Amino acid sequence: MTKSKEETPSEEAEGPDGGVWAWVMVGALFVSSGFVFGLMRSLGVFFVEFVQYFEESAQAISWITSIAVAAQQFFSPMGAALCNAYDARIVVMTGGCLAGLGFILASQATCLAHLYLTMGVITGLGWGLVFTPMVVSVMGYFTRRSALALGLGFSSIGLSSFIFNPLFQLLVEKYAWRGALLIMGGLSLNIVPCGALIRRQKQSKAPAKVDSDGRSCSARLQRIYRYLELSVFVERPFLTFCAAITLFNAGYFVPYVHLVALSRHVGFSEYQAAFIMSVTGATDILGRVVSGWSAARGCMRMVHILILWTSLTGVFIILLPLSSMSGSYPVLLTVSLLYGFCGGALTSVVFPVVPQIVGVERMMGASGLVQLIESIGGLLGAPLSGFLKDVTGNYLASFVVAGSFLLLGCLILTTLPRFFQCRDPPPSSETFLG
Amino acid sequence: MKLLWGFSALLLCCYRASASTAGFIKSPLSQMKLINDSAELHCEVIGNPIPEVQWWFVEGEEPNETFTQLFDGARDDRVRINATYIAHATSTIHLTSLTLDDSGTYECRASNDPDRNELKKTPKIKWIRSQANVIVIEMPNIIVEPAEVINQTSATLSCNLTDSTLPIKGSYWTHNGKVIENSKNTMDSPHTVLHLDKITSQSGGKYECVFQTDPEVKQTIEVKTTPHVAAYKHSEHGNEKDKAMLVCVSHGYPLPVDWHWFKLETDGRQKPIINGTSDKYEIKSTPNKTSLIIHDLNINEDMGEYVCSGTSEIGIATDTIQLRVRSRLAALWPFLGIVAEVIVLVTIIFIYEKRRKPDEVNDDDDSGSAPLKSNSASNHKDKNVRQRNSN
Repeated sequence: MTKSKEETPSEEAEGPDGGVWAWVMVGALFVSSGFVFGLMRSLGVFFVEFVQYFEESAQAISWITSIAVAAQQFFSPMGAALCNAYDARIVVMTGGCLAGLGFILASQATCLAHLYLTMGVITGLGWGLVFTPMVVSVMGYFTRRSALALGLGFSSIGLSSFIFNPLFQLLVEKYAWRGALLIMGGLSLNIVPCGALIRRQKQSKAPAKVDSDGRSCSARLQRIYRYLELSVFVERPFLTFCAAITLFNAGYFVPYVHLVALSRHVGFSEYQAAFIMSVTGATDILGRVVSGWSAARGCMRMVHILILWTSLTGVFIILLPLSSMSGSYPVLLTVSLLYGFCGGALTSVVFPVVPQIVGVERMMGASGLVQLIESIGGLLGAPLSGFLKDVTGNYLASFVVAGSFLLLGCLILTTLPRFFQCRDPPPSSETFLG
Repeated sequence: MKLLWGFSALLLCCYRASASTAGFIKSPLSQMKLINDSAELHCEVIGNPIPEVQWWFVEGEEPNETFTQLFDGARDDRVRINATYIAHATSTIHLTSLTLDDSGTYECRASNDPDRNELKKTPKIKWIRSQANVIVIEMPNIIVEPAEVINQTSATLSCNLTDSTLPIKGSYWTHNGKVIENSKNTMDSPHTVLHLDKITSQSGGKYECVFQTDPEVKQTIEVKTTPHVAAYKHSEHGNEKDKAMLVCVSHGYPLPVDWHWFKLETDGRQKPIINGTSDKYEIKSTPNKTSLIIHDLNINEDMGEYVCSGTSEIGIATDTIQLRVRSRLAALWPFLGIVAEVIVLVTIIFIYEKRRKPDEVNDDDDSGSAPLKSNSASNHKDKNVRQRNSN
């Protein structure tokens, strides 16, 4: 849980692309994304407790997680805008406090609506204020090796689900769910020191703010427009990127939701199915780190790497039901491992592409907006696949559709300007636009 | 005028030609049923216009037959007739709670003659008829041995089908409605046996031996065991001032009728009853599950062992649950510890930064910020060079 200040990288720190503090920031990202996504994925531990205590249906309880995830993605642009307006450090520290506060208040809940408000909205808001600013701040310290930094930072997401699930089970047994939530709130407060580590980058939009002074409505709207980076919406490259990422999100989560059910549908036991999920999670972690490391070597363009991993992920998703139909457990396991690896690999390279599309100084706002728009894909993807399964009776259609979403997104990405160039264009503000 | 007559005659002929007499496409089937069973006869007729279908009951032998028409609700509401007249006519007659008097011939009659129900005219087209026999027989005697199994560790159940002339195609056994796989046999013997080597609470229930005759006959043997009571969780935790729910479930046959909860004192037993100790205790019981809800937990009084006991006609079974009450502040200490750790970390980070502040201006210039200064690159020529090199 604590991070040392002297975290030295495996390779030498060179010039602007790294530095001791950059790797300290990677450590901070590791810890904070572990606390954001690891907690998000471990909320299921409380599911049974809540159903029993509040005597509500499973659907009503699962809304808590949905609201938290939706809030995190919805408030991302707001977090990014606040970073542009103020200091990223303040925003992340506030986000950490809010996330912790949400859980602390939730421990005192007396009805389900309280949980929706505290564990759902407040904690989700906190997470939204934490994630995008942390990611962008870390990317600010790297140019070529941003993918590696993000890969290392995100590797905690898989690890933390491994650690937090049994840990929270233990807490719930020892302290009952109220005590466990209280302690989770305390753990979430650990995001605050991570935020405190962010150093001022001297590129905030504060100077620009001085120009459009005054309290008039239009001036205020103009400021909000600039802070939210809404100008990116009129640019075709950004819209193309958003469309592609939304399609990625629609297909990416389908195996996480349905893989266990698919394995059981074909006839494997509960333990075999659970084992598949565990190893997929393990290769996910590996994929993130390896992809980040290999992307940092600079042999291929970031966009090309993204398309490589995403198309492979799409192909493996389509292969999943086909391999399960063969009836052989090792085949299904292998395809799942490959899916996990490629799925993790693509997450490391998504964010580094953003500054290449919108320019470095707009990447904060743009990342927030990307998070918001990709959430639409996530919201639609899983129910669509569930619907396809209900209509056709097996999982073949849902997995094939999910995989084809990913492949379609890759095709859309190829329409980015200057896509077929072999080298990255020089990093100026007019990268993809001219 | 002649043309008009000729034309209308032609039309009439065409109309007549398109009209067709009624004909059966499905006739009712004869069946043999047991007393108190139910029977169903189905009849489908086509014709143009759509024919009407009626059901008649025929008693007696030729030529002294008596015909009685059956309608929906006849025979004390034991007769139900369901008819549809879409494209062709279908009609189904349901006879429930059969008695020996229901035996006889049932006739499905149909006609599409428009004059069919005229009392004054002689109908040109007779009603077409299709008959089926329904024979109601008494349940043949099946001798079971033993009549009931009560609290035994093993048993042999046997059924003997006596005084029946029905051909036997085979037999099998069912347990609580589910067919027991190994018990199926296709011999025509009226005697069948099922061995129960080890009777546990799960093997109790209603066993039926079924003889595959037409109609099927069966008899039930009840296997009763002492109830088996188990707690959901043997160790429960509750928070002070909160509520706790202790649950016990039971298996077996018959299920407990009566549930009681006791709290084990150091000396003997004490009973919490639902009405006696009002707001504190609440007991909700169904035959297979009972729950004791304790409100407003108190660390000193409510901690301890609780016993749930279920009573059925065969016997009593109990199980024990240990209740631990956590003080509300138990989780507070780890929480405060973590908050203290966070505050310490943040303080250290801020102090470290204040110490570094004089050096910070130099540090920032050559570590993190350079890649971001792309839009103010005008007066940082050497930084540009550095950027290009690193890319």
